[in-house]
Amino acid sequence: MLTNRKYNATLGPFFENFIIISIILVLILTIIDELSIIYLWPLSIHRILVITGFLFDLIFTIEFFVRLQMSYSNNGLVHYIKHERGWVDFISSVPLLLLNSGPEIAIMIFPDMLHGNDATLTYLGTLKIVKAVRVTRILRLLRMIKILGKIQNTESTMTNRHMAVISTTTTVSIIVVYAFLSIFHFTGLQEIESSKTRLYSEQINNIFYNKENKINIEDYTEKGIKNFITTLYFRPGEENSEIVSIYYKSELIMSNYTETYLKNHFNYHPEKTPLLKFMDANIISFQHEDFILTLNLHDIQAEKAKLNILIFILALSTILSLLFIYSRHFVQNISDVVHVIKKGMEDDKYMFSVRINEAFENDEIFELAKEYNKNYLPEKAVQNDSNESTNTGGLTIDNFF
Amino acid sequence: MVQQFIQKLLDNPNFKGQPLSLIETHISNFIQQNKQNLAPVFTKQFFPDLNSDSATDKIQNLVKQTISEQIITASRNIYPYSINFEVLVNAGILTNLNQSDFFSYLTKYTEAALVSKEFRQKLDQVNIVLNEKMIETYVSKAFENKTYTYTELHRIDNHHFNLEVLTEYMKLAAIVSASYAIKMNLSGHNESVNAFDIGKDLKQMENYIEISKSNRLKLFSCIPENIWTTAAHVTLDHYINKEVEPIAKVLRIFIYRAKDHRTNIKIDKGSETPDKSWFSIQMKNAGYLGIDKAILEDLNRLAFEMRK
Repeated sequence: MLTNRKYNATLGPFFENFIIISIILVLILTIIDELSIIYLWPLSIHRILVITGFLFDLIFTIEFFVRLQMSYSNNGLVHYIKHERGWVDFISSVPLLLLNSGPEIAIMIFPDMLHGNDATLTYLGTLKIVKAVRVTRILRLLRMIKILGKIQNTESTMTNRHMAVISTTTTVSIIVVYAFLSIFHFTGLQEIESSKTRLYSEQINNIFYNKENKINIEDYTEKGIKNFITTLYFRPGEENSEIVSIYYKSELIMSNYTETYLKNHFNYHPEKTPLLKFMDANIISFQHEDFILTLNLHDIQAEKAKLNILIFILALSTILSLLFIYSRHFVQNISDVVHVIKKGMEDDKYMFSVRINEAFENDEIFELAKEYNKNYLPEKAVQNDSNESTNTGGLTIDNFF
Repeated sequence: MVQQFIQKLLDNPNFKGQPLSLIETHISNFIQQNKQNLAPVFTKQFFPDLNSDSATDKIQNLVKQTISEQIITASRNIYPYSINFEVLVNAGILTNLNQSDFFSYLTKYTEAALVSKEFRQKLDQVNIVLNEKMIETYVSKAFENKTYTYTELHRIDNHHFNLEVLTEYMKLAAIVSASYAIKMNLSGHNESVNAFDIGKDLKQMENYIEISKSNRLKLFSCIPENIWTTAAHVTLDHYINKEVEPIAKVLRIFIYRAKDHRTNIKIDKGSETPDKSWFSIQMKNAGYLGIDKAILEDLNRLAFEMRK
């Protein structure tokens, strides 16, 4: 039989407060993380953010499994997952740890572990996956819902639950839809990245395509081609240049960035082969003929980060609007009405009529309230009057003495 | 010790904000209903020399006495600052009366509370009407907005008082109307009755008023006849007696309102204000209470406007 049984998956006041503080901090961290991408903060700061993010994801993953275990022990596993937002705990912790902060920190600490038999393939493959799943960071925002669950903005259980359901649905919709759109390249930014790679490939290709006609350059010797490309792409001192460096037959023929800048701002490994020097989401390296071009696509990553912040603000403002505007509307037009009617039906002495909102007076709830005001209360008043000669006003033997 | 026990009873949280007369009724009902259980305790703890019935009666009397004293004290505290005698004297309604004389009459008048439960209840309700400034608040607003109540009070009523005189007149009429709650033996009735009991029977009312005249004069000889008449009309059922004075109609509503008045009550967010709630609830019960529905509707609108 179903009763008001408590499915205890709470961790005690200290840990619950710790989790709430952690959620607030991780939300701030997520924003800082995006800002670090937009403004290309030094790698040292980025590393701190990665480590911190990993620790938070680890904490939340542990929290999820502890709650899962506790609810399982109390035979409340389904209740925890379904009604206590266990599913939110899951998707905002485990996938992040496995797909985002986990691999990021692994690459940061053990860059060589990716080098197997086919090092290049493993390395580039991993880089691609890491870039694709970075969008999952947005799932951290789902933790906002957990804070919302702690905010009991009204005394009404019905309102709090209603607000929790509607906020969760809205926030999850926004974030999950955005995550899917990003993963499947519907944001358009991936296309810009591909078209830039294609553009540079075509440019290199054109040099060789026109070799026979000698359109572009006079000297089609190796030296002549190197000189031509250097002249074409070299932007000395312009460290925001899209072309980071160009290698020809594994020999650096030009670089627009200094080694120091590369080391400070990118996950850069100068000791590796040209194609493997960068393990950084901002940098893409590709080979065409004997050339290896390394492009800095930070502007695209910055746009992605801006979009993430936009989604964060959108989700947050939606939640706040629901919390402070919609919940007020719900309280005034639903739960307060129900509360007054319920109290009037339970308490003989309570003789307040329901305030009818004229703008919505034809709503079912106000139709009910009108009925309560016009019929129930007057009859109750007459009944109370008739009972006056026997009414003891709630006195009992216990409070009599 | 017994006095402490009674005070503790009066201070029971269940009675918070309720009129004193209603608390008395609740306690009295409780003692009556639980006499078998309570009597031995009363005997043992408070009156070892008395038998069960006498001990219970003694407690009932002590409750009555305590509440009477509290109502009398409240009356004596409220009247002096509630009524402006000078206005009534200047308007020629009260003659040959100074304020101290009037209060000595009041003292004598309120002491009747000790012997009559019904009078005590009405006096308590009038205290609430005056203390909550119901007359000033609603009549002033009705005059200001020139509402239906204003038309009734000012244009239809023969008195044609200005607002200041009218409110003082109404207050005095409210005080003396309580005396019509004192029960008397009337022919045709097995039990003693008061004017409120027979408010639907105009002939009986005339009989009651005639018989009670000597008592009334004993209580309050300084009050002129027209105020006694207005006060008598307060007891009349509006739907039976179409000639009820508008002043009395309004006072009857306020006195009924006072009966259900609760002080310091928490108003829930989704509910109407206490007065607005009461007026709107009683609109359907206007016939049952014998009060004028049209005035009730008007007061309901005023309460809404004033958020009372």
